[in-house]
Amino acid sequence: MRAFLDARSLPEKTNLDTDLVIIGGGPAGITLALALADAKVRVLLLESGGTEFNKDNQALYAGEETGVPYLALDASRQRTLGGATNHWGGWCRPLDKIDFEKRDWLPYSGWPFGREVLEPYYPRAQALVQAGPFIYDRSAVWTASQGAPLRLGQGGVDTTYFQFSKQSEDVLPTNFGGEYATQLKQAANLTLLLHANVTGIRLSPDASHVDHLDVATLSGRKFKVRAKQVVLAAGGVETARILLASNDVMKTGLGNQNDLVGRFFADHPIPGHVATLVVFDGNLPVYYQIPREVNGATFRAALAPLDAYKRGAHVLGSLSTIEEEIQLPELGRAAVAATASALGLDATGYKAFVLGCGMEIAPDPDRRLTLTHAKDPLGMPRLKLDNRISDQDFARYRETLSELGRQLLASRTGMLNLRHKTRSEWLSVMDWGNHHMGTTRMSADPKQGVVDANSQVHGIANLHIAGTSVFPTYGASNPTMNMLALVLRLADRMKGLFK
Amino acid sequence: MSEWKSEIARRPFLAGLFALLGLSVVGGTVYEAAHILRRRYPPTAFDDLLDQIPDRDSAVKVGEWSLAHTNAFDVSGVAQILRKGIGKQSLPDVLGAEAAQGRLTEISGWLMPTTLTLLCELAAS
Repeated sequence: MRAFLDARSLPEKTNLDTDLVIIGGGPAGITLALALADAKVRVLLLESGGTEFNKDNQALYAGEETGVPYLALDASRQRTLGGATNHWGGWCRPLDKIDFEKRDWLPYSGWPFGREVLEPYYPRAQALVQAGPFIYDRSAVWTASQGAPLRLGQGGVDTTYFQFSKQSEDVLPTNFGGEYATQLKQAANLTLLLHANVTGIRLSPDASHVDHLDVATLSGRKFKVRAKQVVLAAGGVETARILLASNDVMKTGLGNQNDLVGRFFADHPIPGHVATLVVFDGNLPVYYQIPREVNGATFRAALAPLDAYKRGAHVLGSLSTIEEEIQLPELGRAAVAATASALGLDATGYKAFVLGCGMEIAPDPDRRLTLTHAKDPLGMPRLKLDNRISDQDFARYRETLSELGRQLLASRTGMLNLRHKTRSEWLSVMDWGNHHMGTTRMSADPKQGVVDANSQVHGIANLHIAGTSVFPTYGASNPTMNMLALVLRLADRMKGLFK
Repeated sequence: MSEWKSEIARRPFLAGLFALLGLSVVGGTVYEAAHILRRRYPPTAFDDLLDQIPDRDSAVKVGEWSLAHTNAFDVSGVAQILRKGIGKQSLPDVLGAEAAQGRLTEISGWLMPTTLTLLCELAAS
């Protein structure tokens, strides 16, 4: 077993040479390195942080924001080994089939392949996040012991199921930096270098391939890394920053010949208390509110639009969760009493609950990251995020909620109160999922995407991108487990390239 | 001797009987209190419709909110629509069918069958 190396203690004038260099020791980079541990490939994994949080290191992430308020750029991610898994919530759910489809009514939609391409990788991704058996919407596994779900009848919304990364009571979701440290140290073909910040990806003069990486430490050490293949796995924000800042040969930034790098930034909006859900008889299965453990897996139910409904009604993905019980105001009590009695029901024991959600937004080229003139201590330009969300995004989600309300009434199960209508109402309760996606989107067409279907940067033979930045559309599911499936697919490609 | 015993036994029997009667009166009063204290609605030309609302007090509260946020409310026109829409069907059936068809109206964010919201408004008008 080998210890991790510290770039700050490398001898002067060190230049490193390897087969594959991975930039970024978050879940994507670690997964790729582990997947290649048995391959005859020398792998160098560069992590800009250490094994513990360091504020100077974290400050390298600071940037500006404009538009719709968003979390500070140095607060919504973590520059430490393990990356975002140092502070993730552990929610997992595979993307839906429709998330990969081109939809005529949704500009810029469509992955270059369908979900069937990722499906073989999901069980391994699931194992990496330690979320137990891959069950999700095979709901009988949950409901057999935990009771039937809410009766919603025919319609566009149904119960769906999350699973959770190794989470029960005080056990936190899997932190890849800690959980897989031993395996990383045991991999004979892997060198992991901490405190190594990539400040530039330098191309050959003809811009056909990467020649070398410029790397620097906060202590002032600088060195170069040469590799046959480069995989950029620095997260949905930093990946775009490194590409845009690497503009010595391609003046608009690496891979940015079509002005796409940094555009289409996306996250999952999480507006609070979007609706109040009333169950007339007061019987809500506990697994809608609290994660439950069954057969070694922790699950929780949510309410989501079905693919067929999304296609027909032209709405996007959403996952509505049932939260705490609340008391209704007088008008609400009257609405429930009047409605239930008129439907011939007894609602004297009704219960009302807060409905929360994570929603998908449409791809928007103007929601983007750009470089500013400000520079960090390593000389890297800082970023500015122009964050946007359209009224149509809110309207689409509201339509899904209306469908849920309709189904609750039609099945005589309950009813719904929609709380937000105007843009200012939605924005007043807005939060975000910290799921940075879309900034190096995937498309077979170089004019529509930064990377191709294999995650290779268009036009640059030995540069690939691993991470959620390649998602061209986003779905509503939490991205980590899906991203890992994509990274495992990339690992297979890398093995092929080195055969 | 036997008459004396019979006299003594009759006392607790009568006491129990009076207690039972007292309880019945109190219980009945409590049971009926809601109806006794309930708001009384004067007869209207639309009682054929309003009598179908099982919880008229709640319907009035909903209707009052709705009317306060409506510019104009044509009572006769609405009654005509409701009579035609409900016909000889039961109200639960009408509302269930409306929900299935998505004929809903939003009252302060509450999604309700449109016929019910019109009945609420009629009750409050």
